[in-house]
Amino acid sequence: MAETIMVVEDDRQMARELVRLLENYGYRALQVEDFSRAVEEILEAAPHLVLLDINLPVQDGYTVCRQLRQHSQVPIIIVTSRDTEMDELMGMNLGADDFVAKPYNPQLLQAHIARVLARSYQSGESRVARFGRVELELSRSEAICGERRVELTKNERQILWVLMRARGEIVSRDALINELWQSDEFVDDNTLTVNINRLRGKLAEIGVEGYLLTRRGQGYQLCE
Amino acid sequence: MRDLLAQRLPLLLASAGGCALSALLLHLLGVGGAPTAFICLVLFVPVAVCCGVEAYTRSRYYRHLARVLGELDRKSLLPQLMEEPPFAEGRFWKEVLAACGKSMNDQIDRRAVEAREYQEYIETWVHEVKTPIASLLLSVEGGRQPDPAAVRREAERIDGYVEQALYYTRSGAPEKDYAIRPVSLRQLTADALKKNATLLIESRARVRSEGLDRTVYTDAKWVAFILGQLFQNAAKYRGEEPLSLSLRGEAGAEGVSLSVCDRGVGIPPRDQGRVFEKGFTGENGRAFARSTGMGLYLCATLCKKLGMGIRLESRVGEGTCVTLTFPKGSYHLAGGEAGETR
Repeated sequence: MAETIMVVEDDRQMARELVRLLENYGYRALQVEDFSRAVEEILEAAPHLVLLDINLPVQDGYTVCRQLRQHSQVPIIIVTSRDTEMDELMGMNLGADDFVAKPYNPQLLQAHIARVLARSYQSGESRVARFGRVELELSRSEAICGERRVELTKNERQILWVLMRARGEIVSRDALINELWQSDEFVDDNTLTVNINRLRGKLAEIGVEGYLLTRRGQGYQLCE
Repeated sequence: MRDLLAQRLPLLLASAGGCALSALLLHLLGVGGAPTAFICLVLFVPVAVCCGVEAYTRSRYYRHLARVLGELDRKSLLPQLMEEPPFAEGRFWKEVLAACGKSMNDQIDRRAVEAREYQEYIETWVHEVKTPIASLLLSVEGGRQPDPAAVRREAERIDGYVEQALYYTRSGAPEKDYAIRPVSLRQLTADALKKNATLLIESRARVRSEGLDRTVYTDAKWVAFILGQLFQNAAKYRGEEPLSLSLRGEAGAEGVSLSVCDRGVGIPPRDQGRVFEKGFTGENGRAFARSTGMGLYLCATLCKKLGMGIRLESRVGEGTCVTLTFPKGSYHLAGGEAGETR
């Protein structure tokens, strides 16, 4: 079951993008509609995690954070453009679990969300991504096709996951490299090629061929 | 005038009292009325005349001064315009006034220079930030679907400029926002690499690192910004080649140092001494365009505030190395020695 994330962000455009992004990452995302009832709405929705902006109409995020803490232990990540030490300290003192400065890059936000969720729920169930014939078990870093499974390295898992999220669209080499950089693997062009070839090899081991395609000059894509 | 005379009243009274006492003494000694009156007059009149003359000159001087002050638009110019006072105390006060005024003017001058520099920076900045905005607008012209990578690149460029402006403001009063904590060089460089990923990857970056498992005591956010400026420079001045970036941590006598080296175009020797100056663009800045001359200046300013050293070495055609030196931990945290491990 997908975790529910409540987005508390007053900029409509921003909130919409955020919801889409979170859904793309496999979460269920909701947003606060009426900011005078922000706390009630959050409590009613009982999400697994709250993404909280600080500059809000009616009452600021710190107030929401404090009130929320009086009723609930739901993990809170403060997402804000006010990023001074003071803001961070204040958020943490009011019981927030994490702090991400705007503008953030999506992978970074996703990493923070995953970390906070893992810390708060220590879920036994592992998250699974799927596209076409192949399943990817994220926490165990295994690719599965039918009964056969193969263990992937961190880079290979990351590459496969990005391509799966693209759902058959082409992903450029730069975007893939960027994704790996965001998980602290500062690879270059050649390393990416090597990783892709290894991944193809491992997929072949479990009987998957013609799944990861090269689009010369454009990037890579998965084929169902 | 009246006030000035009133001030002299005790003296006049004392003098009159002295006269009366002398008169009494002379009377007891059997001196006649006329000589007594004469002696009293001789004693009292000069004192009274002196007091009167003094009060008059001062009052005339002060009245003149008040008039000059009243007519002045910029009152702080008074010390330059007032006449030399005809009495010693006045000359002392004139010097005091002049000293106060000069100190005030110096301060105002400094502020004026700062304000002008700030304004100049904002103007250049606005000019620069408009380029990515224009390019973003252009990319959606006529309902065209923009290339996501291009949108990201331009948005990150805007973000970079905004960030620089923020740190420029903060460099004036950094006490407000910094927190010294132990952090590993690996963490510091990773943060900065991630933040500048799009630009660096587009520059076909190859990153090599060595000796980064060292802990330093510093503000991670500030250092990530400084490293970001260095990375951006390396990308900007890489020439035609893919960007080669090497990050090296070392422990030395003055603390831990972190070098960021590229194999870019390098900086001519005559420019090297000035790269940390505000607004200095040099030959490369002109040749490669898009240089505000603020990046390295900000790095140097922030380093100074954090108690860090910054040093640049470069050879034309071979590359540039910028080395940051982190002071030993004990400077910032009592009893904390900069360790060799994470």
